[in-house]
Amino acid sequence: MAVTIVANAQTKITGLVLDKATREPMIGAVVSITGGNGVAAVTGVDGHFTIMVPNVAATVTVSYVGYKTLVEKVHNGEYLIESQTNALDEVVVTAQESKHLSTTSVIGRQAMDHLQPSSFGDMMELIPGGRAQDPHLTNPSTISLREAGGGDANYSTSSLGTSFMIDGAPISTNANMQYVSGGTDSQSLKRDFTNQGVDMRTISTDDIERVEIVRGIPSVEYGDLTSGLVKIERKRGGNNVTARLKADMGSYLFYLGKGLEWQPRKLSLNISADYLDSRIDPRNTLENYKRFTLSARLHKAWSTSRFNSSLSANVDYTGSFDNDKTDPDLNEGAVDTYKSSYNRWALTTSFSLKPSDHDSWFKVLNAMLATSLDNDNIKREKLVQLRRATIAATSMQPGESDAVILPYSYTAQHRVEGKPFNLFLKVNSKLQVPSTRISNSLLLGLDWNVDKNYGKGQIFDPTRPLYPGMSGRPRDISKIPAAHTLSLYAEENLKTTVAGNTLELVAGIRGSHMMNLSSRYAMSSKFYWDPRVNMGWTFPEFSVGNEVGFVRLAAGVGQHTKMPTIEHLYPEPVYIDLIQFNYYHPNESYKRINVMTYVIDPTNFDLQAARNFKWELTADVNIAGNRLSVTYFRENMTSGFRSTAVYAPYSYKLYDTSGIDADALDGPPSMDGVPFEETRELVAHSRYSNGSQTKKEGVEYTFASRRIAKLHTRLTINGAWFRTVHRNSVALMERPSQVVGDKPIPYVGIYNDIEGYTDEMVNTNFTLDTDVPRLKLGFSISAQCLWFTSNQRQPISNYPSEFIDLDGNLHTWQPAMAEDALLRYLVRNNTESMYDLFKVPFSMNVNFKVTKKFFNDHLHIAMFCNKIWDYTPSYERDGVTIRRHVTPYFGLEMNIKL
Amino acid sequence: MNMNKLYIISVLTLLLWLTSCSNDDDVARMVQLSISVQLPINLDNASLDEAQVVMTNIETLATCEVNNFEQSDNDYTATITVPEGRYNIKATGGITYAIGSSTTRTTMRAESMGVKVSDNTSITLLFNNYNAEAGMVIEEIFFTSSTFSGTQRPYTDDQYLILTNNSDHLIYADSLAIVESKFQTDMQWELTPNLMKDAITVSWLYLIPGNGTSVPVEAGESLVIALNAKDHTNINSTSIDLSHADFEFYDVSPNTEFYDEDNPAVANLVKWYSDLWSYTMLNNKGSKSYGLVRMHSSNDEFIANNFYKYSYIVNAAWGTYESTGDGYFIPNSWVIDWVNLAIRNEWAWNVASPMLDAGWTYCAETSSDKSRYGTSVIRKRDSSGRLIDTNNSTNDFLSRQKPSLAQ
Repeated sequence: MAVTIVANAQTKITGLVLDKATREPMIGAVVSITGGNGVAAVTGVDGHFTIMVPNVAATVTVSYVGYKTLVEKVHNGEYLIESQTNALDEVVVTAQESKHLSTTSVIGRQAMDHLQPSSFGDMMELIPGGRAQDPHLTNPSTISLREAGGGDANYSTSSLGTSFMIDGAPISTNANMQYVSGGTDSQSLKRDFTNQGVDMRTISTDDIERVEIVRGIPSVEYGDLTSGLVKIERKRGGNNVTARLKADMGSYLFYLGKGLEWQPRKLSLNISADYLDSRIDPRNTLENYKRFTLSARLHKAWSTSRFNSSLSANVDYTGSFDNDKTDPDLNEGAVDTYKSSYNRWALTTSFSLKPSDHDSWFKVLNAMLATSLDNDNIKREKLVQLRRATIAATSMQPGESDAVILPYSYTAQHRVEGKPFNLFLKVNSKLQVPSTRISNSLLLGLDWNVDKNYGKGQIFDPTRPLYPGMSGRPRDISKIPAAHTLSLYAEENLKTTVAGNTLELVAGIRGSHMMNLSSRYAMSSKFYWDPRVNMGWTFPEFSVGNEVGFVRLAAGVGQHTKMPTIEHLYPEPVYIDLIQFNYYHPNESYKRINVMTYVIDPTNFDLQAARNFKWELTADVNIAGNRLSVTYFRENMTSGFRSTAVYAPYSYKLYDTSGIDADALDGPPSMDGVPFEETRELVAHSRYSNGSQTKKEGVEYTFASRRIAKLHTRLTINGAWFRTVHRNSVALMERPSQVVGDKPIPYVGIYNDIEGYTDEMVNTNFTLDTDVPRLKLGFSISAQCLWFTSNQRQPISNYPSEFIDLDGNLHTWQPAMAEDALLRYLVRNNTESMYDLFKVPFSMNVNFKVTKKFFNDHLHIAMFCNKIWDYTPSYERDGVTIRRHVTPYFGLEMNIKL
Repeated sequence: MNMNKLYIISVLTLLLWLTSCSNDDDVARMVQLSISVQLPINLDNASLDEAQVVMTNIETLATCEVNNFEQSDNDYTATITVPEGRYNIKATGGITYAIGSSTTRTTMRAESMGVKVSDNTSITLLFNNYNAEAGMVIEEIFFTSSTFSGTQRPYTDDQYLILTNNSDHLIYADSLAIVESKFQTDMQWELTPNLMKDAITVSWLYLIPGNGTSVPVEAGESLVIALNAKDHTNINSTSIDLSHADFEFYDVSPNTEFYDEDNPAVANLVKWYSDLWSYTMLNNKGSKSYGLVRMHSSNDEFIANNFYKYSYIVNAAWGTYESTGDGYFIPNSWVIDWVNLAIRNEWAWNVASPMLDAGWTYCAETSSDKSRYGTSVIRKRDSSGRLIDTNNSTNDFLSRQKPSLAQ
């Protein structure tokens, strides 16, 4: 850096203020010249400042709330300031609350080493409201943030709307259509996570350097989300070989990674591989899960006199494989297998350009192109053994056709082939108005996301269906058009000091628009605008004895939008098959069953994006290196995606075959001349709507003490109170099941409320972690207290608001109808006691983890035992004693670093 | 089906009404006789109408009718003068009584054979509302269905019931209905209101069609009611030929999932009601019970008048709560025969009044007992070959039998 010295003139000094521990640039640090009058400069978005000093012997003071004030002789270059909370070599084994405005949990490498995870899902233990769970790796695992109780698939917009970014590139699941159509068996159902977001099992943790889980309101830079953001940053550089071998009660994992770094050339390459093998039970060889990942990440930086630039290129492969077989010995030799494979290749390139001149308005230009292509396959094979005469309608066309009589035993093969492709292009730039008073930046950007599935979809022989009786048909999903979303955003980031207080403001707006949609879709002409604001006010530091404290209050409010997935926009056609001619003959080849087929496009052209409105208040109190952060939040998403039943009348001919002379036949009877009655039936199909409401309310808190030097121990207390309401937000249809005479009840009720649940939970995790550097030993004891969980059904009406009849006519419900012989079936039977509160009282698990380093830190052995001790008392409900059982879970691992 | 022993005898009456009886030329000594008919004491708000007693002298075959009854408490009494001798006495009448919140009327019969009448004889006839019609009984229920040969995989289409005329006279089976209990014998509920002492509750009801004389069943003859009347041995060699059944269940539905075969050569039962829009099957574990009922109303009247809404307490593992349900009740007096079935080790209660069936029979030892398949419950016969009917299925049935129609 050039320093110009002009006689009797001022000298221009350019400095960079960094956190001493993390080397993060400190934005908004106040720089003043000793003896000068007031603030000389405030650091900008990249942590840089420029001041003019009268002489090069001057000293400057750099202050930043929460950091020790730094007084140094003026110089060009770095100014390292030290946090009051964390010592330089502090070991952090818990999630920390980010110092940024948006409520975010930050999990660093040390915390992961201590946690000993097998997949990303294990990290959920560390965030407020989390608790150690046994890994159930044989089922997909989706994320749940700030949520009590689990909603069913109709409330999965929360997990679908949590965006995962790895090194800035999204893991898109918008084109995931890996479900077994018509599936009713647990093998297929429990592994179906379409429209539920990312399967966290597929993310290996060993390459991860740092994770930020944004629970609050993320920057407008991030979109296509409603509920949260997970930002994963992976390791870069280093010259080590690392290996990890982990085994626990259900799985083993092997990881090998190598870093190559040529510092003079600013070039690094990291390559790694990871293999996970998990069984539902160590003795069960039939139901298992395997993961295999490969990663190669190249980084190169250039510096010229005008620009600093960098280029990253990552190539990743993830294979994720579920197998489930029924033991043929226990199944009379019958084949029953489920195999699902997920193979994802991702290529991400990103480029960043920064001017060398820190006074420039232009601060940075980022560009990213990320693509991924999957090859996903589900193979389901089963010996179908029918118990009674069963038919299958097979016509792909609307109209009349003969159904097939199924054999009593056949092998059904059902394949689901998906090839989701994602392209994500992102360009943004930060601009800054030079100011010595206000640290500011303006982020302007756009991104373009393309999702498309090139797979063949549901592949099976409709005459040998896996689920007999279900009116399913094969479907080629490669014909579905690609979904394009274009988003633009602008965000202003300000930080300034006002009479010793610090004001921070991040305010932005993001607009998103789905392209390539036919004009029949209401969304095709719609731009969704997400304004989001986070602001903070930090009061001046105060003294407590010899120590310093400060308090920050923050508030955030924002709108979030998740676009529907391809499956939401282009659901598979519904085939409604109505038996109209049913002729039995003792001679199988003389039987005839004729059906009327309707092919219904269940697309809801009025479908909108799901939107979640959040606000939150946070108090952050720091005293003498102890930090307490408490957030109260509310979120309301009334437009979550939901599959709803839609009834409509369909007409068909009911033939009277009694006049057919069975003895005169020499083949199936002709339908010509057979008398029939034109009749109709109310039949339902499912359709996506914005009919699910998820309302979240709660308090999250994290307290982290300073490490007590003599004991080498630190106390972390975190936890949450969550109250979540899941309920339908649009009127839904329900049909009584009864048959009077030989006709089903010819009415369908429309009810304003079908379901509603309020779940609540309060937990606190007390973690004492001890780090003895002399012994290279770290251990932690975590007492995880779940004070209670409760579940309560919300009252729902026993009476419909309206109903439809066999002609499809809509009628208003009148109270007197409850006495009608048929209409009374529309009255539902819910009693007050169904709305009783079910409360599960206190329980506590104690987890123990230990890590020890040997041989100059080359070998690192770690062990965990979750639930080593528990307090889980039995409790009474309505005079019934409910006993609870807890089983410990162990794991051991060895890490080698060369 | 004699339930008289279950009634408590009450006091005789006081008011006298003289009735003269027709008589032949023989002069026998005239004696005064007091006849009282007693209503079943378990009925709520019962009243008798159209009561008539017909006395037939065994020797002379002279008859005398009595219909002037006076009420006193639960008894209706008349005093008459008749020639001394032995009489067959038959009483008929209608009783109106309450079941839950609704009122029902049923016809009653009572008879007493070879009664010796002398001076100041008093005779008490008990109206038994459970024995309206003796004779037709359920002889067999093959509810477990068979398995595919050589496997334990069930083949469910070959279930059947056999109804047999156990009297010595012809009986018309039309308007008899086959019903399945709403409640299960392996899951006991506290019901409110509880109609069980007066009525059964059904989940489905199928009627034998006819105009009243279409389906004559001679004494000792049987009707085979098949779930699906076809020769099942063509599909499954260990199954049963039911192509010659007298009636079959057929559930007409456009829904391909509920496809049902309708053999045109075998008449269909008439479906009156079912809880579920699906195809009907007998519960193959035996946790539902089955009955034979004489219907006294039309389908529409039945649907309108016999609706039963109840609440019950569910004691689930996670707590106790009140739930409600609905179904259709049928007065016990309409019930001709009732057979409680159960899973042997999971029996919790009987789902009908002990008047109808004081016991239960079974095929399955436990709910997962696969050895139940291919076994049936068959009514015992006495030494004379007559079916035993003591209204106690524990005594009356042989459990786990080879189905009588199997080869």
